[in-house]
Amino acid sequence: MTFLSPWAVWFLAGIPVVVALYFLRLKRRTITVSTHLFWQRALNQTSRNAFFQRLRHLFSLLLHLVIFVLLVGALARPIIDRFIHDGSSVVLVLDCRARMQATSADGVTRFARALQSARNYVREAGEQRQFAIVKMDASPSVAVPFSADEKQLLETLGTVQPTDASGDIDAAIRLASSLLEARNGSRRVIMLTDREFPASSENVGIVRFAARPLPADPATNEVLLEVRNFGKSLIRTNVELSYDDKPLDVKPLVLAPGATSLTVFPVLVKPSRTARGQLTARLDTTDALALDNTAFATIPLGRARRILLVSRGNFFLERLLEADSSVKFEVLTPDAFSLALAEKFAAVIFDGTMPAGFDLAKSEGNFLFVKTTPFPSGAMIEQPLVTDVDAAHPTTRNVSLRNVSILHTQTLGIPSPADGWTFSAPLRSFENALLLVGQRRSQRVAALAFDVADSDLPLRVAFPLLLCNTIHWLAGDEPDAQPALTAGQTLILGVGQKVSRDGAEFTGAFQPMKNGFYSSVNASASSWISVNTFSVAESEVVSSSAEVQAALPARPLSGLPIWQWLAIAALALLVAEWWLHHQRRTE
Amino acid sequence: MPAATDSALFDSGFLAKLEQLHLLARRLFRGEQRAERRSRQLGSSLEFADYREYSAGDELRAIDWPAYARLERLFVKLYEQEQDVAVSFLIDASASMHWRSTTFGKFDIARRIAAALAYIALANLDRVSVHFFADHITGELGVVRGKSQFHGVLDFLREPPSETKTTGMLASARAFSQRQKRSGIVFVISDFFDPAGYEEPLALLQHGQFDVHAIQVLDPAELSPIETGDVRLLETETGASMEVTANDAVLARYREEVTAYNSGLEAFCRKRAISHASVTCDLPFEDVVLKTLRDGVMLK
Repeated sequence: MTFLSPWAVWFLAGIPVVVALYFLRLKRRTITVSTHLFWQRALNQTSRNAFFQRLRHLFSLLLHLVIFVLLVGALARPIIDRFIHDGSSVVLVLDCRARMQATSADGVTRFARALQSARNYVREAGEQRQFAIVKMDASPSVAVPFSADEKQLLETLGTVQPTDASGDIDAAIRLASSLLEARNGSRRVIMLTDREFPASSENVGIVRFAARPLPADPATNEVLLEVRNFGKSLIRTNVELSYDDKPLDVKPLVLAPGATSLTVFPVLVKPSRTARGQLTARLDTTDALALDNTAFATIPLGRARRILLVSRGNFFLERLLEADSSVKFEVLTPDAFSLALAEKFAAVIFDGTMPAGFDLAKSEGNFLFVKTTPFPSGAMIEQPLVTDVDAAHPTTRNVSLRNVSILHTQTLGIPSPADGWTFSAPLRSFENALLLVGQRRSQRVAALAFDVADSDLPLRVAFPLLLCNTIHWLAGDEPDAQPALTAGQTLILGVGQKVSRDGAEFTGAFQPMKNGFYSSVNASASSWISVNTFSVAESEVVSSSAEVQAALPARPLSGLPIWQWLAIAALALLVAEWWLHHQRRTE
Repeated sequence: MPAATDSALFDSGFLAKLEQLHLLARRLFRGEQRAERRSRQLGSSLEFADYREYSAGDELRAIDWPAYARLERLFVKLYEQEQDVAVSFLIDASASMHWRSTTFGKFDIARRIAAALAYIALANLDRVSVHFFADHITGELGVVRGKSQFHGVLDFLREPPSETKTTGMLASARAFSQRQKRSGIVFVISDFFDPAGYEEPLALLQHGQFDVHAIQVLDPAELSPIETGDVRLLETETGASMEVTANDAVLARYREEVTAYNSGLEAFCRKRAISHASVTCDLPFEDVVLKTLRDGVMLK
């Protein structure tokens, strides 16, 4: 037996005070009587039991002292040594998935009920029963490691919020199990999930929502909308579309129980310099889960990039640039070009020419050199073979150069990093670079080692892809940028890229847990990222994870700490003493 | 005795009822003056008492001539003499009699009983004396006679001795016996709460040839106290205190003791041919006089 608060033993010094108070309590009311005659006779009979009378006095005092000692014992918080060494460890796994936001008939969410249940559990925290809290969402994490501090546990629970993401139950259980591995004594995992907290069965949710410009008409976007009825009743509702928070369209919707509506429809948005491209779909209905009634998507704004072609005339390049509606290009002869113009364009293409005295280290702007490059070159290679294509690089994404014939090309090595520039060759012929790319912070440069007219590349599909990819890469477009994410999905952010919403900023990696639009800013451009739940598992609010429930039945904790038993005993004795006193059994 | 109670007690209707009553005595006493009570002496009343032979000097009117005709001897008819009797009131004025739990305490009731009985005695031309006692005789009203003296009796009862003392019935009875020249009727009005006992004083009065009437006056709270809990009991007479935890068991034993004490007093009186009556302060006074005292063979 060990006392967790041994200082409380000093209270035992107050026993004389209890004795003094006992005798003070015996101060009696004074009543005047005519004679003592009969009282003496009555008490003389009682005094025959004087021994028991003295015993009664002793019992009264003893009862007071026992109550006092019990209270001191409770304050000292005794604990059995075995509990200190072994203890009891409980991991509360709090389900924070989107489905926990489903409400029951009384309007209370599952999460609120689970949170209340968690609070009830942690109130039993103590040295012999420590709690850890694990949040179960897209990335299960430890909210609080094992702690006996009830206040800390309650404060942490106060900060936990449900997410709009799906979750990984197995990962949460594995995390809880790993926490318990290092613990001795009784170990337990309590899942606070949707099993014990039923929700209304009626729910309609948007499970897919996306928009993209039509290739044939970039001003028109086609929208995909998929809505499913997870409930048991026929649903008649409307889908309200809004663009940049302004009503755009309303579409009626009739869904039988369990039915899915998949529609694709065109949307024509008015171009604007201040447009954000935020498209929102909202179901005009009230059901168990509100978050899947709203979906978010972004529409590419389609602002044309200014490209400058410095050339004495290149039929293929000019036709290609004309065909790309996302760029607006101008043509200058080499004589008319000056380096000061470079900063006004998203990219400058030098076709077989290069400005006199061009120094890459001092230049500003993005450049594509065709045939003539500022990089050291050697002898010409006849009929080079395309041996390596870096499919991961933005310039060569989706580019297939199989069987492309090149008459000849310059020998172009990969320069060593210098002046902040780093280089790579996504397109190579053995050791020679056919396409060389370099980057210095936000500045980019690319060099094509051969003349497109000396190959059959312009006749291949790869030609517009390769050139467009390269031009857009130079202009700062990020083909890897994902304008749409599901809640809980992790996005690795580029250098200098920053995602923010409501004052919260993310760099390096971005894992949204709430649906909506997030602002993404990098050095060259800004855009919006839409985040949605889009999970059938989350929208199917009635079903639950039966296998987890079977493995982890929710049982109430039992057993009270010793100090609580002592306090209860003191209270019981106090009540008994009060009753006996009023029965005149004690004094 | 509160002045306001005089009129209520002695209204004309109640006085008329009192005048119909007579104090009872278990034996005859020699009186001093003619009155309405039979005595041992022979006199000139209408009540025939006995015969005796004629002797020289007897009045010829007293000769029973029909007896002479039958017996040829002269007999004189004797008649009883109706005389007064000394009626004394010994009123307990000790501190215990002043303790009260109701509007009218024991001492008030005792004085009212004494006043009523004194009125009856005065109405029957008896001699009345009133004595307050505690540990000794503390106040005394000398012998008065005739209804005209009733106001004097009331005045005396209205102003009792202010100093309350302990009860000393034996000393008081002894002092009373020594002061009385003639025997008579004695009403002892008290709660009889004397630690030294009531037996010896009452026996002493009987030994002094007094016809003793014991009237016990009690307060209802003395018979059945209701105070419970841890109390300190302060005795009015001695100022002594005692600590009691008054639970149901103790109160039950108290009631048993009071009942036994009162029964003992009643049994003692019955054994010694002493008239006994017990009254409580909560009884209507008219019932006390007209019923309780009559049941106690003190009035008729």
